[in-house]
Amino acid sequence: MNQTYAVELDHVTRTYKRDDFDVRALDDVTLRIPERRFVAIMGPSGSGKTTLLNLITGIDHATSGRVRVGREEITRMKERDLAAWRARHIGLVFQFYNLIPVLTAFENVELPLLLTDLGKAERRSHVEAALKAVGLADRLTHYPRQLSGGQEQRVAIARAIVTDPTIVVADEPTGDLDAVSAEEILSLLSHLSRQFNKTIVMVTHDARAERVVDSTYRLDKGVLIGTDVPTAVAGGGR
Amino acid sequence: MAIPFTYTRRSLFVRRFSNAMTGGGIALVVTVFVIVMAIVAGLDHAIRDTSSPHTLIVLRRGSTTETGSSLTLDQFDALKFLTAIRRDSTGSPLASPELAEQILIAGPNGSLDDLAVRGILPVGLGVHDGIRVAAGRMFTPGLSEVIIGRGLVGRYPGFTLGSRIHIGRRFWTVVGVFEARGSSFESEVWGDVHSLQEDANRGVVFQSIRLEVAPDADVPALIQRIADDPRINLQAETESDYYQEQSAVARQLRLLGLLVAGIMSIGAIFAATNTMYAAVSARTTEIGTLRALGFTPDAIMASFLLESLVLAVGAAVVGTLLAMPINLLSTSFSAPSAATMEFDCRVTASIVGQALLFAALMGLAGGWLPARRAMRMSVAAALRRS
Amino acid sequence: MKFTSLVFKNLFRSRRRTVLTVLSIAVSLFVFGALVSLPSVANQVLADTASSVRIACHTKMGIAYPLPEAYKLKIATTPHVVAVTPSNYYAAIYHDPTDQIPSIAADPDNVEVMWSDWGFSPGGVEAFKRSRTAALAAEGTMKHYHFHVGQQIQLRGTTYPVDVTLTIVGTIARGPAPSFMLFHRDYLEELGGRPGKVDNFWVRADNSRTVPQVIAALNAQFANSSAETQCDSEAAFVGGFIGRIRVFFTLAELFGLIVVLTIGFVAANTAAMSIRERRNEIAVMRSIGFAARVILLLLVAESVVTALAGGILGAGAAFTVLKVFAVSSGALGPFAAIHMPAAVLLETLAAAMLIGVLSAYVPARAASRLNIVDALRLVN
Repeated sequence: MNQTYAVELDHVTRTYKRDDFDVRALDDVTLRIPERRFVAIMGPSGSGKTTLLNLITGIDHATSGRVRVGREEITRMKERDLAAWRARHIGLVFQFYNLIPVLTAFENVELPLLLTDLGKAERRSHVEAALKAVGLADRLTHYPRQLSGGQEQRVAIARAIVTDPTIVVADEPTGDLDAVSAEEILSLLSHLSRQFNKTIVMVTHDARAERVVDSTYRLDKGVLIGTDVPTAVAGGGR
Repeated sequence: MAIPFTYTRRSLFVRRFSNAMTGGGIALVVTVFVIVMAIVAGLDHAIRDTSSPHTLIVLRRGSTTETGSSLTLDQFDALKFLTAIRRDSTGSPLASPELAEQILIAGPNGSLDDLAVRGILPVGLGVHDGIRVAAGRMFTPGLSEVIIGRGLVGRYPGFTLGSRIHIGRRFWTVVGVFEARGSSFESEVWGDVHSLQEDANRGVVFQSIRLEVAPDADVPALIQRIADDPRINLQAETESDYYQEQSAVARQLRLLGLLVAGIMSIGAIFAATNTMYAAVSARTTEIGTLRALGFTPDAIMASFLLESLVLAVGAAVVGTLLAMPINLLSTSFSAPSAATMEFDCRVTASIVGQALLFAALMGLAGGWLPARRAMRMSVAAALRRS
Repeated sequence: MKFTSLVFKNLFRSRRRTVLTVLSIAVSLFVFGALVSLPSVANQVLADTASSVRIACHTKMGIAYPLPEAYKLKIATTPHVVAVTPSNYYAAIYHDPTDQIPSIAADPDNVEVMWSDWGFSPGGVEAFKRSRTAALAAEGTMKHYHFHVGQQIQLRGTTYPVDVTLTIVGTIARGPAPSFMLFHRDYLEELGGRPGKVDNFWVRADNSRTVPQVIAALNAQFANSSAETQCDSEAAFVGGFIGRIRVFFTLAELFGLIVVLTIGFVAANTAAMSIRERRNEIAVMRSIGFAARVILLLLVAESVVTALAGGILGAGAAFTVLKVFAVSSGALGPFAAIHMPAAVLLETLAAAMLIGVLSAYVPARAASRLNIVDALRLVN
């Protein structure tokens, strides 16, 4: 059992106002995600999965409670510092890929590196390595509109890992993909997690995910209702 | 930590219709601005203030220009011995009664041009500061001789040293060419005032008196005396005040032009704002993604401002080029009762610089609010697909 | 019509954007209307003088050189000449240098014949002829300085070194300038010591066809004399003045055109954007059953209403401003006060309509014809 956790949430609540109502997206959630695990956060829509993810990445702020990621307490960080922290420690994968349409695959993957001090040549080698790792080394100069959905998501994953982040966070990464591409993406994430020992936190309602992850956290109506560790976790992923 | 320029450049291109429309509007505003400034620069250049601090111009009470003034020999005689007027080495007062006429002459392209002819007494050359005969000699009073300004040489047939020219009713010999520090006097013909009066058959009339004040003289008191003395009863002012008034037209024109350009720029700025708002709106997810990746709000704002700026400055270049033909415009302008002014329009480097700055300001003004909105977007909201 | 309510509802959807568009169109068309009025008024002045039977005779050398009085008889006996009026220009001010009253000192005997179109007040000409110090004043001058008939005033000459004291005995309705006075040349001659010089002989031919003939005869008559004449028809004479500043009229028109183009770009931009944003709606409307043509009409109608609103505002503002500041601007000289002629008002509104139609047409057409399936898919 690991003593250090990648993500620690302590009694975290997130409420916000919608017209006159107070909506509790997360209600007193406490959880610990160990390092170097590929975990899934699952639940019906409206359960607070995305909010949870946003809190982990610092995109959103908890109303109460503490959030620690990679040993840093981000609840108290200032906006400007959060941006820098995010650039360094977090890799993001979105449901709709969120690639910048006017940039090529190469340039998209390079984006997070522009926030570092690396020189042009170094950036190039990192980008090429990342694209190679996701199997798209031959699509460097393609624009997103020239790629299929699955390919776009792979570029997005390359972008997410290119800075060698502490945690990779994926929000419904297979949500917009057909069955075959979805399987490929899940397999890729699992592979990356094992090969590079990365902590990957994935929000999903794709039932197939349970087969590839190390553990699953279940949310319902903003409350953590359970944690599963699949019994059939064999080495090598799915 | 800046968003790469490639992003800015390509984003501008993606919405090219919208941006072209906005850019077109900005370009045209710049065109108007450059044209007006070029005209004003030309006018300013023509009315260059080469005034001397110790020269006064004396006109009829209420006149604003030499050609719209008249005074008599009696008035001149009463004035010339005022003690505040400087004397030359022989003790004669440096006061010059003058007659500045516009005489029609056949122009190079068949049109009738106004030729500025000034009748002076020999003392006049000394009274006009900085004017000297550069070639040939001064004319002899009583003879049909003239000297011409450097700017007139070659402009009309016969306007060279030594030849004869036909002005008014007779032929005059060009005995000298004078230079006048680049001022508008260099477009004048100077001759003996009495000969010119005789040729015009107008009797002994003058229009103005130029005089030099004695060193340490009390200029305001002299001006007052010239006005109050019933035998004189004229209006005196320093040459620089006089030139200020002459350039009033140029100033008014500049003001009018700036007003028009300013009003038009409001429309252009509005277009820019509209375009940028739409761009920000369409790129909400992109903005959210960039923020999520770690780009700071400042970087986002800077990127959008840069986009606006690049568009505006690019448009300004086009607008300036469109206005360039104005450089070919060389024309004359005369408000009635004022002398005709020849001037060339000129687009100077300074004007181009001002135009670019003006455009940059338009771009910044137009892009400011949308850029701020982009900067302030809540990342979570931006990422949420609605 | 049920569609008008649809049009207006759509316009008020984004009130801010509509208001801003209307305002920016209004502002630009205000500038357009004001700018184009200048050459328009000048052209009107030229047109008015085109059919005149009057001829202006001065020396070839310009107004710096006057003509001798004695020419009057010779001119009067030239065939087809109906009347001759010797006149001198007397530039004058009333009190301040800004109170310019350009005046003419003329022989009174033929004024009602020579300037039959000036609209002298009844009895004015007779009174004028009777008294040597009498004067006729333009209605504009009367109004501006609050003069009344019978009033005695003093004018200070600028180009003549004498002041004149005149009694106003009548008015001129349509003189050569909004600010203007006419008095006796004989009176000016006496004050000036009787030099016997005339700046300009006005000559009236019997009809417009004989004008060129008269001009030729007059010029020939005085050729090779000590004072050669240059006779021009009144149209050419006025045209000469205006011609000196023609370049500025061209510029004003050019600027007017540029202003309209600019606002055209802005309007096109706005229209394109708002139409693009409403693609889904348009698709939905089409799938309900609205014909493409109807949608095109609706969109263009919206644009036209906006542009017209701006046009009315802008033209109205320009009209009012020019009326309130009815200045006899130095630009046209003494000839006319710049106002906004009805033609320019209509031109401005027409420009507004054109902007409305053209700016929306292309994007509206594209949007209305979009394949419904494609359009609905874009709802994302």
